[in-house]
Amino acid sequence: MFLKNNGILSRRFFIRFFVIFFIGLSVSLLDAGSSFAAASAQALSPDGQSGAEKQVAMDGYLSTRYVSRSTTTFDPATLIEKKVNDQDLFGELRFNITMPKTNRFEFHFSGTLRKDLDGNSDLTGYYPLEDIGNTYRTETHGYLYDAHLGINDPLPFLTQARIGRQAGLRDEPVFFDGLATDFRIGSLLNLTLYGGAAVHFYDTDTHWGNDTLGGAGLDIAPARFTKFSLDYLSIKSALTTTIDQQDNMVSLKLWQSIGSFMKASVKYRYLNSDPRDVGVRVVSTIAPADMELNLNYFRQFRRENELANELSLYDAVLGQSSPYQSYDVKLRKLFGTHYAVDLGYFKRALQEESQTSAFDRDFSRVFLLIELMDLPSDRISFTLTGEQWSTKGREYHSSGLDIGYRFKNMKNASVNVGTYYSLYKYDYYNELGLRENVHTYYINGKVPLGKGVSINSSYEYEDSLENYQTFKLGMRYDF
Amino acid sequence: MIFSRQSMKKYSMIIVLAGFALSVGIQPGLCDKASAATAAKPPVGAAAAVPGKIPFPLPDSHKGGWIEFHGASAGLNLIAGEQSCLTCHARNDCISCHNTRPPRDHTNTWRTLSHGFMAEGNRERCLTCHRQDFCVRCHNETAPRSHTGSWLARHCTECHVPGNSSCGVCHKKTPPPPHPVL
Repeated sequence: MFLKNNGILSRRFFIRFFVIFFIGLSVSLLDAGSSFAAASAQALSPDGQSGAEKQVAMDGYLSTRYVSRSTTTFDPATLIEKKVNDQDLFGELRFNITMPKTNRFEFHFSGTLRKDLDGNSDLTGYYPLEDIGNTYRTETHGYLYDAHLGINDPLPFLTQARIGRQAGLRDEPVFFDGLATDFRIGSLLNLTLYGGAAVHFYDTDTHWGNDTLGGAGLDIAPARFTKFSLDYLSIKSALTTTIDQQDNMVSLKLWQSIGSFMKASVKYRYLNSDPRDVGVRVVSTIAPADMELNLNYFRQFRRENELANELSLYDAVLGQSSPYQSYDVKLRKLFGTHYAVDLGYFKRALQEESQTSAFDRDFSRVFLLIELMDLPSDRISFTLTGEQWSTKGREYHSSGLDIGYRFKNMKNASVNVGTYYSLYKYDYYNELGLRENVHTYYINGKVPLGKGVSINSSYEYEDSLENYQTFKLGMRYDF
Repeated sequence: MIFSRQSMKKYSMIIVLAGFALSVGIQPGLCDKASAATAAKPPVGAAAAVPGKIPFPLPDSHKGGWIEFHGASAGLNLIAGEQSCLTCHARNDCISCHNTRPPRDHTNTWRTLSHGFMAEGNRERCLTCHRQDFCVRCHNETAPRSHTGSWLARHCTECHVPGNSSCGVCHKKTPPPPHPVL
């Protein structure tokens, strides 16, 4: 099948992926000059007049990136230090095909490919450069995030039907292979229905079954500045070959705009008929003071154990999540056109201290960012960052400096250099007070070559338990 | 293996060559009209957020550490049906970025050390992009730093320490088989 519900791609998929990949490129290159330009223009044009002459328009991007990482490690057999290297090739293709003239159909695609170039890996023991890309036991794998056909206005009240792999973003982000439909009744009421085979991009195929999900969302706008939503999401997940998990979530939401300077939302959710959580969010812009304020409050009522993959709080790895509440305050202030200051505080507090466990703790974080733009001269910027978080037995501090420069006569080519310092303080077992210092230095740059093509490169050096070097070289073509 | 080594080399070469051919082979004038057309008016609708395609500078709100702030704004502006984000961004920009653009702190040290610290107190942050299967896959298939050399002989003293629950991240059965009594 072209669309497998585990997101991991078969040989047949690769063949079709490459076919689409090169068809897309061919269309982009062959449809040169005015025809392509008009199509591209339509995608961006507010009135679509120029693009309306085209039957089909296409926009998107293709990017490729080569990544080389290296470090040193001890050979477990000889206990002699040796250098190891890992090289990967990444590709990403995303495009949207629309029909400006009739607006009858549209197609959206987003996918990535990754190839391990060196084959270095040791899944039986620790390998310092191993990551999730090495867990497939194949050198190449890919992810298909979006490949759906949209049919616009097929029936009265049915504004769009979407078929294929797609994301549902109404409440919890979910991916599925299936069908979604949007209905609109007047200007006050929208109804979305969706469902299909759930897509889990990192499932281990050995014991997970065919999961399904379905949902509905209703939006009602009784007034210009007020909106209500009601969402229902049902997920059936095969945790093992013999155990199925079915979770049903109901979500009630209210959005309210207060003038042009404040927006707020309240979301209350039920999971399997029990109250699950409530979230309050306020974003306020104080224009005369050039300030923006974000306030977030969240409270989880339930103790969360095993749930379907889309709803799980990582019970399988971190254990249960006990009831807690969190406060999140962020403030940003612009001082003219040259200075920006961001300040934030986050606090997570368990409802009962006795519920504290190794992976479920009280937690707080403070961050500060100061940015100087076009100072001391045009095209140069400085960014200073600081962060501190703490939880019982753990502390983390970091600070960083980034200097960026945009070149004047090179189509806005840019280069950034910077460094970060992180200090982890933690106590294992007997209050040993271990400390880990991590110094990171980097340089990266981007050179637009014109016509949507750019080349980017970066080098990063991490001085930590191991010393890592990472080199990246990539290109991107926006069409 | 899904592919043979030879065929994968061929495909890889094709990708690389196609990429770099694009870098140097785009014909002049290909997008001139597009540039001219888009420069005339600000874009509205499902336009991709492509630097250079949007003919006006970033709004002031996007300066500084906007990445810290964008979630709340997007939640209120996108879901509520407001169109402000969609002036420049496509609707699927969210999933594209959250699946393919790791944050700056996701370094090699993050991979081997610090992600566990963060997850201890703030697993909710992980939910922004990751689902449980991501954790399970890696922890099921790869071995941690401690599992080297004489780990088999050392693991008793590492595991049987009060308060050490890190073994349970991967080993759900206690004790994991085989587990002979010494």
